[in-house]
Amino acid sequence: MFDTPPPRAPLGLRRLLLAAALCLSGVAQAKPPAAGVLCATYPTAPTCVGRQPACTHCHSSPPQRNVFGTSLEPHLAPGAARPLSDGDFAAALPAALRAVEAEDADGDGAANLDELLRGTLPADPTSTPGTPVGCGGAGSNPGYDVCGHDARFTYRRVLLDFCGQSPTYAQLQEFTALSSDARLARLDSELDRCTRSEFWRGKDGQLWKLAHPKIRPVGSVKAGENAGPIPLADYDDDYALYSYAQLDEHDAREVMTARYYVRRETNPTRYTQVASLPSQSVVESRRAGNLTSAWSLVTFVMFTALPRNAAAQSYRAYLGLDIALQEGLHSVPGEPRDYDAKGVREPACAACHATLDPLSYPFRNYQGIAGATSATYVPNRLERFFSDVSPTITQTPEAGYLFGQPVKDLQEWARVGADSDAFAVAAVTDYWKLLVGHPPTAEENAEFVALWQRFKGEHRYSVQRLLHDLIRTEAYGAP
Amino acid sequence: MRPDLARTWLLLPGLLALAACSEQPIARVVDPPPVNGQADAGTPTPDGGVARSSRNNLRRKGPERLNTDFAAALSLPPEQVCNELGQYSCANKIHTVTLGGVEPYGSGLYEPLPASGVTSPIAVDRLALAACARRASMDIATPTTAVIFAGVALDASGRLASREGPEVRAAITTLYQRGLLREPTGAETTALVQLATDVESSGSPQPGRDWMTAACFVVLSSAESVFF
Repeated sequence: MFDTPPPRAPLGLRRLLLAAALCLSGVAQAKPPAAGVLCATYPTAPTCVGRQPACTHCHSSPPQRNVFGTSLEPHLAPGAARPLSDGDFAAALPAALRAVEAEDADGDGAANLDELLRGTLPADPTSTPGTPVGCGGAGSNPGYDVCGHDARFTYRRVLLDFCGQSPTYAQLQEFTALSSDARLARLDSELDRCTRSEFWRGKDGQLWKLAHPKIRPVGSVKAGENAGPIPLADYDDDYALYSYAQLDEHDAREVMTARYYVRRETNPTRYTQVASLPSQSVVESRRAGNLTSAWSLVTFVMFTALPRNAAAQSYRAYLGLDIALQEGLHSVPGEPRDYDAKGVREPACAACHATLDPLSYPFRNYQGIAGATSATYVPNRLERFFSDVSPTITQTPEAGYLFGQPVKDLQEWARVGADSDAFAVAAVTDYWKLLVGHPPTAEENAEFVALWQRFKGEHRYSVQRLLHDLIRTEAYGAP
Repeated sequence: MRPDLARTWLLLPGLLALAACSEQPIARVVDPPPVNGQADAGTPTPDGGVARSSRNNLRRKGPERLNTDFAAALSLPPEQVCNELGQYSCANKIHTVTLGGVEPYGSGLYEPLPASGVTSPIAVDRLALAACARRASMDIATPTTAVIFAGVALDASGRLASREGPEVRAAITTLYQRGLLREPTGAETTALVQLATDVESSGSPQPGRDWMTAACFVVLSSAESVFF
């Protein structure tokens, strides 16, 4: 598929990246250096830009290899004694990757190298590179600019995406008559108008739809307005904070870091920052946005001593990394310790729990469902409520790790997460999927990367600025 | 939208799809195979000389946008576009998930289904047909405030008084402007005029009203209306 050699990092840089991958790696069953080495070998691969390749590139479930991983094995230091050390493995992997570049491990018609460089999975026959975007072939199109950003097409999309309604015939005629500069200005003003609409910011509007998979509401246990038969907590507060963080030049990171709450008023919908709410109980110094909302604690911590589910859901919802899909694994040396005696040191478990358990420790003092202490921060929670879970449960530290980096508590966890590339990538991916209609493709990756980098940089985490930027991309505005 | 379902989408309306052609296609949505060696007359043929988009990135409007657009096109209150049993909103309650929406609080369906279902085109048709039937009835009942079919008279047998008349052509133009935000092509106008003859020959007891409903349905249920 490629006529020219694939882009590779210069030799010196590759060695540096390889060394970094080795130094940062820990000890686990699958090979922690693998992701870093893969990215050192193919630094422009979409999965490596601001992200880390999922283990599913080579494994079905670590340490079991998938067809691509299996095809690599004979080329990994042939003749050397097994198991390979992490160092030997990392040194041998680039040559093994290159040895199978021309092969098609999953038989989907795309060579392994093509798949890696275009962001699809070389072991999944349903994951294949799409047809590169062309320019419509011969002829012209009097209705659409099929070769670039089409302001008239974008205008219709903007009104549908943000206002929930097409323009009228007369509005479209008027827009068409504008100059190029005036069209762009109109797009901006319409975007600002429409993001004040109920369709965008109201209950069950577009922002709420983005929040559903993060908050995971369950109507039967809702408290407050429209309470269910077993009212445990009110997830409307979570929607309110999420929406507030996305609107009006606010800092989107505060969905993870806010020490305030947000009240929603209606007709029209308004979100207002408040210091406390009767439905929330965590003391201010221990709050971390929606990670510590009453709803998150009640539904994701529930009755567990070590709230792995709360940590995994926070990781998935706000950082876009799903441990169940082997994403975002950063094995911590010596982990998992298995403080709650769940048997997670078994090799089949440890591959993920070496990341998940230290990710969960900062949640140790957050109570789930427990009568009067429900959804609160309880110092020495494990000692007071869970001492009989295992002989070592009370040794569980409050300090943990995020992305392999030590964090002293959940507030630092949230701050490190919110400042990470992963947060920006996840936030921009949400809007990309909502507005472009699919995750970024290989052809769109350059625009996507530039967009999330500007979201972190010049846009200063303002979703409003991000949206103005996004509607100018070809991915959004080219028919 | 899977290509096979997209094909079904246009094949279902059958005769009515005759006129559902896009003047300037931006992507190849449908391409049904020939039946008995004959291509579907309603399918846009490759447009010689018209450049096509290769992005293939049409998106479904989904329940809310579809309902709102139909309401705006026909000047109906959104809550009157389509109601099952006269009281349950097709878009917001009964067919929400089928049309690409979510049902987070009761069913735990937090994201739209990744592909349209077998009943998705039927639900779109249901929505369009209900809205069009309502608009046709209102325009016939109170012609002085007609929105689409202003001045389109019916004879004593319920047929269009003048199938080729300017009022009928004006109604077709209004439908395209309000439904698809463009003028109809000559071929599209001709096809909808011809539709009146076809409806009359079908033995309908109220052919004029049925034509109004069907012409409106052709426009609102077309791929050009349902995707963006």
